[in-house]
This record gives sequence, structure tokens and C-alpha cells, in this order.
Amino acid sequence: MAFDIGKIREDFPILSRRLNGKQVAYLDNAATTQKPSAVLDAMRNYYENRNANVHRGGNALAEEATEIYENARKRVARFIGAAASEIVFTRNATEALNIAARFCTGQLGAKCVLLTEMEHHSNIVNWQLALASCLQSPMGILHKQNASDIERSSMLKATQWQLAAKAAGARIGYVKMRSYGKLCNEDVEKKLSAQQGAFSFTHASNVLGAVNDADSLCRLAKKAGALSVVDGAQTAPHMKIDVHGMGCDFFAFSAHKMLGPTGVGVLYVKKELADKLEPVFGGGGAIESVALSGSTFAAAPQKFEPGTQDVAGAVGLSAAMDYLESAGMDAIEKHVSSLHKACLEGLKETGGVHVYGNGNRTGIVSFNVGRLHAHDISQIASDDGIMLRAGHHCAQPLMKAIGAIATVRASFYIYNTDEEANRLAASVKRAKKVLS
Amino acid sequence: MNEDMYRENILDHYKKPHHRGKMALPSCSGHAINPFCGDDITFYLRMGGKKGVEKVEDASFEGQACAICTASASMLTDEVKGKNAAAARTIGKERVLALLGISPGPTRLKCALLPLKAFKLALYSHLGKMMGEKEKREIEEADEGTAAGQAAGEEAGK
Repeated sequence: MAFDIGKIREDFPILSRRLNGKQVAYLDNAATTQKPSAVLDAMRNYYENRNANVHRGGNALAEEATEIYENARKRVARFIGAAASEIVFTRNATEALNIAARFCTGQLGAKCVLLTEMEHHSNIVNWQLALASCLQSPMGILHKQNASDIERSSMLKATQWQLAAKAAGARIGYVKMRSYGKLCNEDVEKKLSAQQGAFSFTHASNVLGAVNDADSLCRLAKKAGALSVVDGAQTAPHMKIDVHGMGCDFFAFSAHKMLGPTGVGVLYVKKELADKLEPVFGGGGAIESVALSGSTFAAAPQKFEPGTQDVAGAVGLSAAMDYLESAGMDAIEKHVSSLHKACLEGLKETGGVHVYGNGNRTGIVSFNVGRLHAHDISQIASDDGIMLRAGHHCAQPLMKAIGAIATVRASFYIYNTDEEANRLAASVKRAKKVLS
Repeated sequence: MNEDMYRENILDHYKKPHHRGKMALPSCSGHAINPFCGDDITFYLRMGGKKGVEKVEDASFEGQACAICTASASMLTDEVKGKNAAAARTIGKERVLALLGISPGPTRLKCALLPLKAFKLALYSHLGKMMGEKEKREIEEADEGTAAGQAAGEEAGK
């Protein structure tokens, strides 16, 4: 199928919306993407005609729903080059990363964890909490009846994991980042050699857009005997992913950043690990048998999905993947890269714009305009109908590393156009005029 | 909707803020940040008068902030200067929005009220009193998440 932008745009009802009398230019795709009718229709059709509880009961409708749900799992597996039994549905990438962190620091025994300076908060705080909870957490003190106020307030001030870590010799290290947003490989090797239990990194920064070489990073982790956990939230929407080729142990991403619904994410768990790991959460549908004295679990991936799952969400994600692959992942990457280029050219012409990183593969352009505040730029763009993101993008350590308190971020996807990139440049020009 | 956010009075105060800069020998200061956008305001006051009938003799601010926040801080220095403490204490959200002449959405409300928070922290530190619960809520209403964000900021800084 040829990549027909006009036809693609017709598939997204929200793109015809007007705000302030201006046609909406949606350039906040790294935060979440819009949904094509095909996804919405698939979800509606599921609820209207197929809905039943999966993996339970022998009724015909439940069997049909189960098949649909498991087909969605197979679809997801195909999309990232995994086996269906390695796909665990979660609520989002954040939850997937939290579960991965619990697995690593708990059952898999990683007490020393290596992260990077470029992580989203969802791949920092998860590790802090996971380490705290598996290491005789001092969090208990907060709930202790007889804790003194001083004890309480000092507990609240220090992050829990730091206290726990001190007590147990656990630590979290951070790999340095180069200014254009890639990791320093020598630093990775050096820090991995210090007996890390797990190495977790983002496949692409949500602020700088640059894509890390996940294959070689996973290889380095393996060589050092560390588990590898990859945050793929910004790459799964944009490029072909092959988790087996990558060699990672865990890979996490969200449906809503790739045309799918909110509320569904995926955690890929490598088969050898999936088979031996016990679930973090327990409940119905995830067990083989339950007795008062204990339970045995179902096989992977069911054992990791207790309770009624978001079946319609999985159906929506499956439809989104159909949509993306029918447009062609290579064609999407090419389209996004050309928008990225157009955006940079437009901004360059505006003058006084500083761009951070290089997101030519993920369509991310983070920038600041002179000394003007990021919020003012995004507000004025919003008045012009252009939806951007301004702030620290939930990546404060990264912001510190690049020396910016906030940036403006434009992020492009399948349905964006050169005209929208030009509108952005014109709006930045207007902002400069209004504010100085 | 937001077309009039950058109205003339706001832009005037933003481009030429009143009483910007740390004053010599302030009686007290208050610092407030919004880690979500990086707005960072310190408010300085020079107080006069006897205990119980204190008066704001001078006010100034410094910091990095967006246009709305900067304008709000600038207007607030004009507003509190010369007021006695009892009157200055009663300045709240409504008054700040009236000065700005806008009704911002929840995100920009934080920007608009940050200087008020810094001012009140300064005033109360001088009076040696705690901010009233209701008063705090009104400022913090726009400040939800900021406390958590501050904690995250501190954590990230370590």
C-alpha cells in the first residue's frame, strides 16, 4: 500500500477538530497518539458482539472472547518478534516497567541496578520502590504507631530506597549521556563491570528522541551477567522491533502511543524467565489450583494476568498494529523523519531556537527559544491550534544533564504534515514577537 | 479561549517587571517553585511598624518564570507595598486573578498563584505565624502535585 497521507488523515476523526477557530495540529504524539476509526470500531464491535469473560466458563461466547483475546496477544507477539507466551498485557508501559523491576530485584535477586541519565521517571522510581520493598523496607516506619514525628519526617524526606539501600548494600547507578542524547558506551561497559544485577535503559529518550543501540547494550548486559530491561515506549510506535534479535530479557511499551487505546500496555518477558517467574500480583484466572495453604500458578503468560483483563483494549491494540503495518513501519519511519527535518528547517529559519538531541527516527523535536519560557511558547502555539508539550517531560535527571529547566517539545507521527511543521515555525515566530 | 492570556497589562509587567531583584536588607523572604515548568520565585519584604501592627514598607521579587508568573509577581509587589500586614494577609486567589484580568485554566493557574505563595511564605515567616488552613488550601488548590513534584525534584537532585 502506498503511503497516502490524505487518506490516513481521514481515518482520524479528531484531526478535523477546530479550537479557537483554528484547525488542530496535533504535535504531542510522544505523550499520546490519536486513534483511527479502525481501532475504535474494533473495540466497539468487541463490546457489541463478542463480549464475555475470557479464560473462564465453557460457554460459547466466552470461548469466542478468549480466542479474540489470545489472537490479540499473537498479534502483539508478531509485531515485536516474540512468542505469544512471552507477551503479558499490563495497564501501560509504566506498569510493565514496575513489574519488570519487581521481578529483577525480587525473585531474580538483582540488588545493584544500572540505569541511565536519560530515563523517564517511570524507569527510575519503579526501581527505587522495587529495591525498597524487597530490602526490608523502612517504609513500614511511616505506618508505625509509635514512630516519633522526627523519625517520620526524616523518613519522608529521604527517598525510601536510599535508606533501604544503605542498610542492605544495594545501589542504583546511572550511565552518562552524551549531549546529543546518546549513551556513552564506554561508561556502560565500565559501570556494567561492577557486578550489576540488572541494566535498564530507554530505547529512545522521550525528550531528546535519539535512539539507543539496544542490541549492543543488551549484548553488553549479557556479557556482564546482568538482566536487561528495555523501555520501548518511544520506539515501538516508530520502528520495527525484534525483541529476540535485540536479546533483551524484558521489553515494555504502551498501546496509547501507537494509535491504540489508553489502559493497555505490554511487558515482553523472555521465555526462560517467564516460565520460572512467579507472579507479582495474584488472583483469579492466574492459578492452576488454590488451597487454603497455598496455590499453584497457571502457565505463562496467564499467571501474570490475574483478574479480568482489558480485552477490548487488547483488541484495540491489535487493530492499531494492523493499521500501522498496513501503512508500513518503514514508510512511517520515513514520513516521520521527513517531518522532523521540515520542523528543524522551519525552526532554524525562525532564529534563536536551540534544539536538544536528535529525534529524526522518533519524530521528537525538543527546543527552547532564546530566554523565553517553554510554557509561554506552548501556550501561544496552543492559541494557534498547535498542541505541544512544555515542561520537564517526566525526566528531571535528563533535564539536569542538558541544563534546561523546561523545554518545548513537538513530536510528529503518521498523520502529521509538512504544513503543520510550517505552522509551528510561524507560531514560534509569533511568540517571539508577542513576548519580546 | 486563551487568546487574551497575553493581554497588554500582562505583557507590560512581563517585559518591564516592577521591583525585580533582591532588595538590600529584607526583613524576610519566601521561596516557591513549580517543578513542572521550572517557575521559581523568591519574594522579599521589608517590614516596619510595631509588633501587632506591622506594615509592608517595601516588596520585591526575583526568579525565573513564565510571562504569567512574572507579571503576577510584579503586580503583587505593587499591591502589597504600603499595606499593613493584616490587610496584606487577606490577599487571595481572587485578588491576584483580578489584578491579572484573566481566568486561567488549571495549568496556568499554578503560574499565576506561585508569587502569592512566595509572598505569603515571606509574610508569615516574619509574623512568626502559620498560614491558615483555608488560606493554604486556596493557594495549594493550584498547587496540587507540586508538593509531590518537589519531592521528586529533590530526589532527582541527589
